[in-house]
Amino acid sequence: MEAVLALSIGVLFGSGVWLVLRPRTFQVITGLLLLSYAVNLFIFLMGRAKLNQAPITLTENIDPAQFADPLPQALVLTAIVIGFASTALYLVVLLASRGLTGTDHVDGKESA
Amino acid sequence: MILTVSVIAAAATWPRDMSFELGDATNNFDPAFALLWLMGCACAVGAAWQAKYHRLRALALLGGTGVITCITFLALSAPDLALTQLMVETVTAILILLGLRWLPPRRPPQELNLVIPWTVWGRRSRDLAVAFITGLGMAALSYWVMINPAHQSISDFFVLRALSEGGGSNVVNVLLVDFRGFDTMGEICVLTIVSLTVYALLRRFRPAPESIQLPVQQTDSVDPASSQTPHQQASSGYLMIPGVYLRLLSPVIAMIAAYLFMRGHNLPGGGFVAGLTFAIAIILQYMLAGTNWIETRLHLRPHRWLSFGLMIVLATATGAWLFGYPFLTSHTAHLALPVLGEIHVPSAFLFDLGVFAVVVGSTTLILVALAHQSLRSHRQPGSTQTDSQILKELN
Amino acid sequence: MMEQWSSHLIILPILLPMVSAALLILFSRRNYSLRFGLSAVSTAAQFAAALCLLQLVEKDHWSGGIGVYLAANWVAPFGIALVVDRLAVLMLLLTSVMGLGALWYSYVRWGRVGVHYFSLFQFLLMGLNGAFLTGDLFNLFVFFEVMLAASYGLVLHGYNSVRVRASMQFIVVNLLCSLLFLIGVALIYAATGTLNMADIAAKTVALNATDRQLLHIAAAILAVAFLTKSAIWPLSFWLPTTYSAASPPVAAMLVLVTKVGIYTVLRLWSLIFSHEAGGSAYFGAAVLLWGGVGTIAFGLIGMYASQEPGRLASYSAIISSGTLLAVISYGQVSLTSAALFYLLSSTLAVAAFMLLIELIERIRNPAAAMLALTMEAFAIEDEPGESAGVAVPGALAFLGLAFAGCALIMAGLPPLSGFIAKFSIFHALLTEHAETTLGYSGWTLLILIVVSGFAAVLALMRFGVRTFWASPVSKTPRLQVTEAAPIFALVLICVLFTVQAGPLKRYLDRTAASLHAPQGYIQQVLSQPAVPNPGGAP
Repeated sequence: MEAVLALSIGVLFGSGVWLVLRPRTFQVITGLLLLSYAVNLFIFLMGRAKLNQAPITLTENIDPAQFADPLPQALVLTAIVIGFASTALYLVVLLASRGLTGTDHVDGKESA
Repeated sequence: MILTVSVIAAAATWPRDMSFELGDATNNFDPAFALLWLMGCACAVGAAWQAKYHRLRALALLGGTGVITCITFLALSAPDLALTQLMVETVTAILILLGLRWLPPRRPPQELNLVIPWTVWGRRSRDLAVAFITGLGMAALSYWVMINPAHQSISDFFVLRALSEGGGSNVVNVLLVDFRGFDTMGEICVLTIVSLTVYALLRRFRPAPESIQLPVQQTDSVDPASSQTPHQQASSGYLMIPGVYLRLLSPVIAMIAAYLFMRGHNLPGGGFVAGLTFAIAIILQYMLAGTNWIETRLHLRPHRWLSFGLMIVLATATGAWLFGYPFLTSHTAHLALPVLGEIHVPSAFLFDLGVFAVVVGSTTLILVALAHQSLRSHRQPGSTQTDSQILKELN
Repeated sequence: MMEQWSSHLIILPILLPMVSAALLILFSRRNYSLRFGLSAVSTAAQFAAALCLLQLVEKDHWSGGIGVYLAANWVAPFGIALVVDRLAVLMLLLTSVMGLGALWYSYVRWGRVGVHYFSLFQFLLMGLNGAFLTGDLFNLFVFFEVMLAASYGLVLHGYNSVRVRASMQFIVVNLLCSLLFLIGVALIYAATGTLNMADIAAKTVALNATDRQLLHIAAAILAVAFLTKSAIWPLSFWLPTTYSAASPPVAAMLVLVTKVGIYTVLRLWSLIFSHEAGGSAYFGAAVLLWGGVGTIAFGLIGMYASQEPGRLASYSAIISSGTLLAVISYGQVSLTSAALFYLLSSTLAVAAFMLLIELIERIRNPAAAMLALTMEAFAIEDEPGESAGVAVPGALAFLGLAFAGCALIMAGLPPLSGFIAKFSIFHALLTEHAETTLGYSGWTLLILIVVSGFAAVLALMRFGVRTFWASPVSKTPRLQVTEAAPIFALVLICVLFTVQAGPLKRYLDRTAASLHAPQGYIQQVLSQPAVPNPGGAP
């Protein structure tokens, strides 16, 4: 499972990087989304996530080893929200740039 | 519009059923997991491949990767993450679809008989190499970390104290509203800032001239809908049935939001997810009934939601000072109510209410500001209603 | 009880701007003076809070001059701890002073353009203050995001095609940095199992080989993120475009945003990779040094090649970043203290210069080129009144003097504070290292700092001569007190630094000494007890 996840993170990250390096704004925004998936998964897995662990503590006397590591999950939640906000902002700036410069090239010029 | 609606409907409904079925299946055996991620990777690579000329296709593929990420979170015991990722996914899809309209159409060079110069190929292969190396690096890094055993971390503290001292059995939510509530406070500020920026940016924005004409799909003379205004489409045209259906559904969505909110401290859910759900209910109404119809009937004031949300958070957090505790210290009150009996009200609940308000406010502010773009472009030049009048409604 | 209120003071620099931002959103349609007044009061209150904190830190109210505030009352490695020490106080003071200056300047014109300027401005201050105060790595990320989101909004403020284009690049670069930041934080968590900076430093000493390697990778990834933000070469390509496109008060604040990157490097590096860190001591020092040297060289060439004042100031900001990073990399008390002095004076001078540019542009192009540029994109809501403020007599003389002041400090010539800063850097470099041990890296740095000073002199003089002597000024430009005063005040502060160099330098020495003895910080943070049950309630 580790190998599958690691490879997947690699593929997502690679595709994201490729897209971010493209000159068209829509490609860049797609790339940013892919990169944030990869990074979210990465943060999450830093807690060495395992299958079949309980996320909810129903009683007070428990063994923490039986539970999923909650901290990376909380970090990912914050990261998802911030990623969402940044995507939204970038999308709107992209539209504004498109409206003002008349192109969807990242440099605001069609050539280059 | 039809396309937009159908894609969104698909994005909003399809993954929800899907994730639970597959989530259970992957718990037990590994090949399914590998297969799942084979799909996920194919989607990601496909999105990278298609993003230039087929934006909608790329977006759908991106959604596929997103859903598979959700399933992974679910399979690896992170239901809160899966839930949030799914909602964020939906809202992002709506957002991009609303924006897609204003991007120029792009044709593959084969159709235009253009020859791609070799410098472009050079740059592409360089970028491909960079992408390949970084991807490989990330894969190696994550594999390396995962095969190394975890050691003592600060997490055990949270698991042990979430119920006894944090007052909730959903450790992740207790982390967000109590142990690391300060992060959440910063996070809702980011949301607020972004929505304010978006609002400020779009309020005088004019779309590019060539995007203002109606798209081909909407000017088709065979289609009776093309001669109707959005309002007519919603009240008597082809959108009437979904419109009525959704209007009936919106209290149900609001109920779901309330349910997610209430159970947040103990079971997966919480203010953030609830806020997004509620915002989706509002935005669906916008999409089906048209902006004008909604705004003559409903006065949304996203700015107030934002401001009051922040105030509630601040008031809850500084309230602890009165009791001699530091900022944000949470407290669980036991109230004895006449009918409901004794209930358990942590102050984190109020904090979450503030988060809910900010999320609703900022999401609707962003989406509505985008929705107004199409309103503006459909209006004829000599129209009487000005942008600022419409946007004043919003404020 | 007194003890309590003084501890709540630590969180005020974060809460004040947040409260006022929330109120300003509500008042976004109310009259202008109410909005301006509210933000001014809030910024002034932040300044007062920072002054009080300075008193508390200096009077040893907390042992070792380090105050810790446990947000949500959870003890240190678990909850989020806010830490105030001499360095944090210094940065808080700098933030509020620059905030006041930029706010004051924007009263006449920039505050009236567009909506939500003041709330975004307060959010920016909140992000900056939070980044300086927090003692938790992930919380630092959150405050970075608050700061960056606000700076995107402000760069776009009063938008036109130049700003939108510049901000596209600015946003993508910073989003990528944020992703790197997240990866770094996650790796640090994987290696050490904690997020509290003091706790990370404490655990670094006893890490096993694998985890140490992980930590080093994490540090390298984080460094790329921070160094991009502090505009190290070759990651500084985004800076000149963005800074010269932003509106003047925003550009002035952006100068400080760059310094947050430097602050973070200084804080984390001196804490985690100090000489006490065992196998990780001084990890990456060579990269910092050579990166800094490269940055100075890059900024020097850029500065000499640029004609436009905005770019001139941007490259000067790059030079100052490079100098700071290179000097910090030695990890020695006297050098760090000199670097801090340089940081204060160069930040204020470049910020003042950013504000001055707009006024100078009006002489060069009496048709108010800047205004036309802004009007281009229909962003101005109410036409800024010509009569706001009082016209200053001798406007040209004032501009010339202010320009000379900024130029002297930026170039590091006597008699102003820039010279003292550079001189103390040289002094520290030469006394700490006997000539033989300084090595060629040290000599390269020394020579580059001198050369960059000369280049700055030449470039600024060229610009000054062209503007003040050679341009056909038909009529004296109108200058308003509200616009001129903040520039004057910022330059005056630099003059004050020169006059009061002794006490300031002694304070900075103490700051640097406590930075390079991280044990005190670590112990103070990790031993801070939670507030026990005062009322007896659960």
